[in-house]
Amino acid sequence: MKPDFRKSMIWLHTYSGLVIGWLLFTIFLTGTLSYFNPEITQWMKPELVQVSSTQNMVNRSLDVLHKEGTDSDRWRINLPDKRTEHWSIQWSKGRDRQNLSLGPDEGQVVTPRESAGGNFFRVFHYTLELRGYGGRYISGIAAMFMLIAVFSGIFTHRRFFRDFFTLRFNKVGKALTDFHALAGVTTIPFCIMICSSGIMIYNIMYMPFSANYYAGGERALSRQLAPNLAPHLAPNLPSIESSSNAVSEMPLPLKDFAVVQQQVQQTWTGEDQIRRITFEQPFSQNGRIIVDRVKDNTLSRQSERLVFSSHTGEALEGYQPASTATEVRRVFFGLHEGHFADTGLRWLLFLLGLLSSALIATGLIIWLKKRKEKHQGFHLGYFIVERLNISGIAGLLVATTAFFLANRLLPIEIANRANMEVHVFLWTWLICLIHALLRPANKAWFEQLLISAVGCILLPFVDVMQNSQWLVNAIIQTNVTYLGVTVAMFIIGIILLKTALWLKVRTSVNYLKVEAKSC
Amino acid sequence: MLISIVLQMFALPCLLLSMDKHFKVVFNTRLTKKARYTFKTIGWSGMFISTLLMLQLSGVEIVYWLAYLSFNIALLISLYTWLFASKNSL
Repeated sequence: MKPDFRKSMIWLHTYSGLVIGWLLFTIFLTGTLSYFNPEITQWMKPELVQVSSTQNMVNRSLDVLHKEGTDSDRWRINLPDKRTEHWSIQWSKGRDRQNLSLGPDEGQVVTPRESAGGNFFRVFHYTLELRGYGGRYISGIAAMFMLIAVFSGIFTHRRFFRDFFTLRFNKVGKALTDFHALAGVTTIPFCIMICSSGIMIYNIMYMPFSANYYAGGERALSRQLAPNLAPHLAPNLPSIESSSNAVSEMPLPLKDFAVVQQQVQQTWTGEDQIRRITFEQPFSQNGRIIVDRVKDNTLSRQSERLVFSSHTGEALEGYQPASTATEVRRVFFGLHEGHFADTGLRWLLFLLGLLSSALIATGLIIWLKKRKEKHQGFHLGYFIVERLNISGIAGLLVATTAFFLANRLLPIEIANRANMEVHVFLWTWLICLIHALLRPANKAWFEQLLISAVGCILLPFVDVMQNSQWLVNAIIQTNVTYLGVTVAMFIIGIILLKTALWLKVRTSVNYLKVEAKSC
Repeated sequence: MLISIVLQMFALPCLLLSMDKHFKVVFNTRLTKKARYTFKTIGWSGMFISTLLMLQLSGVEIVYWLAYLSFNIALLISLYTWLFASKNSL
């Protein structure tokens, strides 16, 4: 630590960024991809057909559930929305759960391939595939370090306004520094919001002491602050006796949802407001229906819910209001997830996420470049940092591309297909680390960027080769989601290719000689 | 909100052009004191009014405003670099 305040901030910014930089880049990049979680999932399950214009989805779902889920203690109907064409039903007894995806035609069942989908990125960015092993603690600590880096970075960048619009591309070093400053300034509000909201989601894990002392633990405190539905006791139905006549006397859940639909439409204005319908204990006298509203019109993570009797459709007492603390947490959670964002805002948040990821990446590279300029010859620490930079940044891009390619290339009938996609991601990443260790640094950068570029560019062609009908159907039906993901991958591939070629030129021996002469 | 964002898009280039080195790159001539003062006044006034208008908006629209601010800055710098600065390397 240096005695001067600004120098202290520079030291803090440098080392808080370096120590956790690779992890932060991973979290930010995968988190950014999860802004398009349903869209990516839809692309990764091309068997899903357009269902959003289908009529009478709820009653058709109930028809199937009445046949298939007679022995269940829970039914669930997930309706498609603006962002996903997935219409699915679920019935479960205890932990035994069955799912079915439905299509627009009567009785049509859709069987999408088993895939980790876009949800892999969402879960990965906060668990790091270490759920149960401290993954959420690690990602929370990373978010805290990022906040430190952001605030200390403000003091580090002395010529805040003078260099505000400067971006020089003629030299790699200058380009990196200017880009890092630009990205840092433009993403200050975004980074502060995303890191603080991310910490707020699991704040009770990071500071559990009050929960442990006053409420007997996190779960007990959560139950106090956000109580579940009170048990419902239907007053006038006869009690069910365990006799052979019990089945015929068992109250049946609704077959026609119209009576509930009408009440929902009176309470919630707007079209297509229902996101999900859950039947709890459908064949019990105390069965009830919980209708979840779409989350488009609220910042809170928890949308409104209405409760009805599963036999009569009569409105029942709903959830007790949650505490202020819970509502604050839910709003922060909602801000973090961005589910309220429409297409335009979602793209803006996505671009800001990419810019933040690039901010972290350029910071790591700048740290190394400055030190290597002063120190010629081999240095173990710089060697390790350099290889971690290559595998952590370019390697992650290769792993992500491999994940998408695996989705298309792995056999459909393979067991644990979703897990296999994740294994491909992780093993590819490890291979990139080994590649970075074995190759000269400049070549490793170029090769890994080139591989991810080629992978991204080839993805649409692999898609067409597998089954051209998917793309044809997407064009005919104007499936913006499918086409958007395809085009975005192609464009990202082109950008990566241009970056790889620019890097190859700028770091070639001849170019460096010319640069040295001009200096 | 549209007016607020348009003001941003107008104010940011004014602030860019209020700096000597960027003005020189764009117009190939020196920036006079009067021009600098004018650009700075227009730029900061535009940003101030845009911020005032932003404060009238609802919560989600404020999120939009902040996102657009970051995007407009990045867009302006990218355009400036691509159109002018790369030809006259700084």
